[in-house]
Amino acid sequence: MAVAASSIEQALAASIPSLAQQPRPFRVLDPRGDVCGPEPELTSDDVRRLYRWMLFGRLLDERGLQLQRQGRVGVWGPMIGQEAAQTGLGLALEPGDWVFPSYREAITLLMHGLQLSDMLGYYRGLYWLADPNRTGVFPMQIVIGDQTLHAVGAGIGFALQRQPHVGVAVVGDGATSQGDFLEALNFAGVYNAQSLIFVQNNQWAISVPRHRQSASETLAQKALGQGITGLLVDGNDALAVYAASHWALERARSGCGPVLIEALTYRIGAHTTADDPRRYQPPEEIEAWRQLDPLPRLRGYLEHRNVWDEDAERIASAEILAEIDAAIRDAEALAEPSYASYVEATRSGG
Amino acid sequence: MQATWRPRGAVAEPRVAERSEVVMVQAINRALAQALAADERVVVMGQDIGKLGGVFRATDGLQARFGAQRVFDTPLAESGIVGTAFGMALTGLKPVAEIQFMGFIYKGADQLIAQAAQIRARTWGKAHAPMVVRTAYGGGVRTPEHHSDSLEALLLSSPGVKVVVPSTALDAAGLLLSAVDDPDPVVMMEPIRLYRAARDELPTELARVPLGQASVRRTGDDVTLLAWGAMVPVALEAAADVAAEGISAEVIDLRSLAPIDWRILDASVDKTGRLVVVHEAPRTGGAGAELVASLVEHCFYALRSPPLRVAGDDVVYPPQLLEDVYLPSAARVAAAVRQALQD
Repeated sequence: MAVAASSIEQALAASIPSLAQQPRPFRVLDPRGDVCGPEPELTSDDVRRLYRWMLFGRLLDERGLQLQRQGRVGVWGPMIGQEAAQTGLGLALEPGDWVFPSYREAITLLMHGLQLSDMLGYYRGLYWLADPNRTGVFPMQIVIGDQTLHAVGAGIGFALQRQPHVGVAVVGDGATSQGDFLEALNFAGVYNAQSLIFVQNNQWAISVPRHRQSASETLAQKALGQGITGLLVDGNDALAVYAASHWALERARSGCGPVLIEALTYRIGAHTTADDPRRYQPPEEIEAWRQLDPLPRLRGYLEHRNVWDEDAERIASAEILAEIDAAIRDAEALAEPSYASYVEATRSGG
Repeated sequence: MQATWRPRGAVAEPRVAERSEVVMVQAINRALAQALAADERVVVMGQDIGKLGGVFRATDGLQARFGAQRVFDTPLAESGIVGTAFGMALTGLKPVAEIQFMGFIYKGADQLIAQAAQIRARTWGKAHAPMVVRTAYGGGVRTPEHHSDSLEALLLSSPGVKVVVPSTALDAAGLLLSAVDDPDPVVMMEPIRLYRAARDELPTELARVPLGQASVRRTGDDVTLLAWGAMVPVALEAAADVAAEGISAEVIDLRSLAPIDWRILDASVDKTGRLVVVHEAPRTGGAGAELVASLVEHCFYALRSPPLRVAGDDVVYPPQLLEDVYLPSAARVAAAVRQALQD
């Protein structure tokens, strides 16, 4: 019973799942800071706070690199270029939400209540000092993607105990290749976990470019295969990231389903201070993304509304640098614990 | 990963013996029920553990009794099971997760060893993960590939994870209850071979067996036999055999491999001066290596002959029809005891 190949192919067409549309990134501000999408309900104070945290991140990055060069911290993972993704998420989090981060969203963690001195203590070479149960911030994850399952497990735990909190995983584009990442999306869907999986797609996993991580057109669409909602967001637009994160968090919190957000951004700096991106990152690509710097974009929006100006920038910068330097002093004043106290702390109470 | 094999006798309800004797898998079921009833934070999760009641029926009837919010099936992904159990444990739940066969635990080992077991250390003791991983292990029941592994050595060099292995029905229940109480990850390795072979009379209210305590199963003066799980009955059989030759062997059931009860072990070896360790896992890098090394350190001057190991060979676990050659037998253990006595 030979059947012509063409008729099989025709019949198969109806049996191949496909994306009805390729998503376009959700955006509120265009690169000049002009409004091009629905503005979230935020007061001027909220938006100023958002911008101040972006500035905080930019200045902290500069100080972090200096500290590393001076041998005062072991390693530093620059955030430059990704401040909108990190602050937009940070502003949307509610107290009681739990963040399971990677190591490149320091601002999100600080916005959620982690003390900078505790974080710098970690960079100095101590383990995680702040109580995650109090701060809602779990230790930075080094095994790429593992924390996705923890955020989903926490989201299942919150749902089972009827607590209005969300387990949030923050990962990079490289993590989306991990089996644990896909298992986490799958579990999240099956259990309707109160979880948000937030991917900062900065286009590079150390030296491996985005297109070498996955043949998938977007990372957001990986959610579809696991039966959950995916969202593609302009990660250099802080208002868009805030609005999308807020929507996703409320959706998850109310038991309407977990969400995967892909925030499109770019790693302007090196992977860490131990990396040499000149070996692989095209300078013209970096330059093109520098033109999409998230800070001037939100600053333009603020200035159009006459709620920010050069003076405000100068004053805020001076305050921030003083805060950072105070935190550095506090972190460096932390007594080095004894090895015995470490061993004691690791000992099970059971 | 799905086993097509079904344990012998798994479908029919196990024969209930006279008095109120139950087999090990029923004792585990009873302990889970007691833990679920006592503490609403306890949840039981794993593949096929819901309606089916587990491929060995360890969770039989628990979903019907406690509901699908507390006893639930998971997708077929070991890393997902352990990783989400860890996340749940952080929120205050006490998950008891089942990994169907220990040979599949590698997929969840990263989440167990690198994540759940390390959170206490990584947070200076501020966060911890009260969770249990139950897993069926060991050979001797003609299972297909990857169903017979004894992977305790993988866990012994992983600080932060406790490991218990029962050899009796009472201990299975008691160790499981203590594991649920424990504030940190505990793996309970359940010997498939004893699921329906070990039987005990169980009290209405099950008693806890503290973690980290070995049990002397037979007292003796000439040689110390160390075993755990399915090797305990083998060691006891060997001890009975050599007793006829006038050799008095002390058999210690470790019950807990992490932590190890050095107090009881040291005292026994100091008394007998001879040591034979029995385990199913391959000899090289096995738990026996650690036990012998430490006991030589602790009891060097009491030793009267070189400590010996009766273990699996350094080969991949053999196919069903060859496993009886691989597995330590009472005859092999008895031969090692005689050798220890000759030196």
